[in-house]
Amino acid sequence: MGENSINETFQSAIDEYSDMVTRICIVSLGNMIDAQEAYLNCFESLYMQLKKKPPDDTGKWLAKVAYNECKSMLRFKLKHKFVSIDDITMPFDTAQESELIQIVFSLPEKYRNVLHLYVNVGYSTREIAEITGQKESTVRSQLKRARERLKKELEKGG
Amino acid sequence: MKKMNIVNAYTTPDEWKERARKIPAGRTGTAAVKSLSPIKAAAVAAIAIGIGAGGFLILHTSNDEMIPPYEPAPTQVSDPDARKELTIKQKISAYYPKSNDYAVTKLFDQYNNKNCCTKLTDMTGCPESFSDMLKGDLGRIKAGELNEISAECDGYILSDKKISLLIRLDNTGTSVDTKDIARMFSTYVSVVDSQTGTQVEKQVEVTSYEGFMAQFLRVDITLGKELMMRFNELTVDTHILLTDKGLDTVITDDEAGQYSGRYHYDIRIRQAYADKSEKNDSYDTVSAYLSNRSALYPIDQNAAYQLTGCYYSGGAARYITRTPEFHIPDDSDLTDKAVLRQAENNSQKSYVKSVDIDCDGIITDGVNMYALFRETSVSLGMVENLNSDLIIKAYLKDTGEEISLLGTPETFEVSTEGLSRMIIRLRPDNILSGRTVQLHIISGSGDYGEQSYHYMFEISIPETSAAEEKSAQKIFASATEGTKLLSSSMGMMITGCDALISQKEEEARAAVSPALMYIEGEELSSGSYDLDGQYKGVVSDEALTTDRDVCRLYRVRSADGGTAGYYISYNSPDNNVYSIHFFDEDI
Repeated sequence: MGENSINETFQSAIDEYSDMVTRICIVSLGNMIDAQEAYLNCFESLYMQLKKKPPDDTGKWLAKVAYNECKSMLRFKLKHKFVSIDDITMPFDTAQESELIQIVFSLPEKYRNVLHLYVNVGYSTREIAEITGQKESTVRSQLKRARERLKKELEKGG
Repeated sequence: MKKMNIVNAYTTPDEWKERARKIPAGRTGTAAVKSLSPIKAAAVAAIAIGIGAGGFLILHTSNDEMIPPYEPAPTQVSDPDARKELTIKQKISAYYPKSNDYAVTKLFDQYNNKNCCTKLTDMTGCPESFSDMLKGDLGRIKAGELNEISAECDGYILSDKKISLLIRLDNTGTSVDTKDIARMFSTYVSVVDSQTGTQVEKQVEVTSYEGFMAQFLRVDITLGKELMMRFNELTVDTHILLTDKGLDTVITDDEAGQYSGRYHYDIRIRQAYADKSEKNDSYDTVSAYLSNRSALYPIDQNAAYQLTGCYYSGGAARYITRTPEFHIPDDSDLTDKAVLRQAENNSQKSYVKSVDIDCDGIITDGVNMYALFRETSVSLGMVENLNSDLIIKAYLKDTGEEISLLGTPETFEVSTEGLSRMIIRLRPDNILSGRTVQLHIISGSGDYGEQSYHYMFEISIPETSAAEEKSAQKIFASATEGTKLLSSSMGMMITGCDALISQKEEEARAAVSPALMYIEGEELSSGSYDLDGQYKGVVSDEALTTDRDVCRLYRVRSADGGTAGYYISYNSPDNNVYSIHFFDEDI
């Protein structure tokens, strides 16, 4: 793959997958500052990978890298500046929407991750298992619990 | 779940995309600095300061040489055959200490005198906690919040001059953030020579680190004199005090009296019970137990003591480690401090001596396993880099089956101080007893390939020995006649608590029994556990759905060694841990 071709593929990947990577990072990390760092690291990794060998499925590859990047950042978040969820720049106009996103973020990180990948990105439990490196049964279990929790929180919030 | 679509409202800010588009033009500061000479690095740092913290730094050097990326070696852990090719860094065998009838008898005397019992409420079958829940007027913090924090001593390590406690403060609720736990408490330790009643000079160092739902605490107590050479009996009295100074803070004797409400651990170490094991392997054995203010809890009846350090655990852990053996290829010129590393060209294996990971030991009850690792680095900064993207995998050696690690990010925890220690907890689907676990620790270069430093540790866990069974029979026989005395397959005991057993029995019948299915002699299937090789069970909720992550089934043995019933502990979807005892008639 030539340099020009790599560049073209890389730029198209930014256009196509930026939002997906951004959302995984935000859902995992809960703040925009860390999410930005993770997002850039993901695309840097993609660029390096493209120079070696383009991934078979760029979307899934990026999802996996994003998941791992966020996991790694969470592990060492003591080393990072902590930013409260309240500090996230909320792109929402209504209080109801803001409240809803707070409820989503109140889920434990592992639950909201799999829920996001399943509901929003549309991956199957098998694919999520590949991305997260967990067993499929674990993913299913996490999905079940995430749903229950979310439902409970939403009911609580009326 | 359409509500979850709210997340889609987030789109990538244009600024992010613009920065991403510039990636081909140069690498980010962190990555580029790694390849620079000290002079260049200093210049880069100066530029960075000039740009300011808010600016995003794209670095260019004159030649702008890219760091050659590590070649991924994806077969290293994903292919069982490829794993056979790997060099084993350390082989670790567990050691089962001989039982000490005298210590057991004494423990039971104490049990009966106190008329107390252990509580079987932990998922792993360990006593719920070695702590009292904080009670009374706790001032700043609501009692309800404190009820959401439980403290448990996972075990402790003895070495020649040092005692290290591993404590976890679990956050079981939602109103207290895990990170807040670190701010709510401080640590106080006193060490007393039991014979003279005098305080022993000590130096205490505390390291806390945050897990997903827990704060982990490691208390290192260094004594001025060799631990077991100068004292017949020591009481190590450790308190987690309610302050706002922070867990890492060590409170002095004078300050300790100012605070109320605390978790309390006593470790008593007695030279008097020391005994040489049959094997001439330098193991001395001592008796130790943990207690708290309201009840006595047994640790291993007869734990081993080893100069180079070993692990003890409350109640459930019955195996401790031998000194790890190092296995380095004969044709290698390496020392035991060398580390296997995948070469950058992926064509041959090479070694680096700048980073080292050693296994200090393990705690296992035959089901779960904690392994403690220590990293050391010769060159400055390497340990931090190493930790930045560790990949950890565990497999059963005989079948190649992967073993899951306890959830993310509790898979491993790294202390904030020096980033030099981590604890890895396995969460196996089946018992580990009699199996050999291969644990891989791999350091990726950042793009998540399985590459770079690759450590493999082999840990052999023996089967529960016949001697232990015999010892258990003696324990049952020594119980007071007429007292219900039960033991789970995890070695937990209940005695002098008929009322509790009755209550649990009623709870079991009311809450679980109607939905309980029992399968015997069938292959393991989703939702079932087989902990003692004979019994398999499924716990179902009212909707008859099952979840294999949440339940454990234990056989409860009666005084004559038969089956008195069963004990289940399970996690509810709301993350609370419940336990239910049920008996033959329930099935």
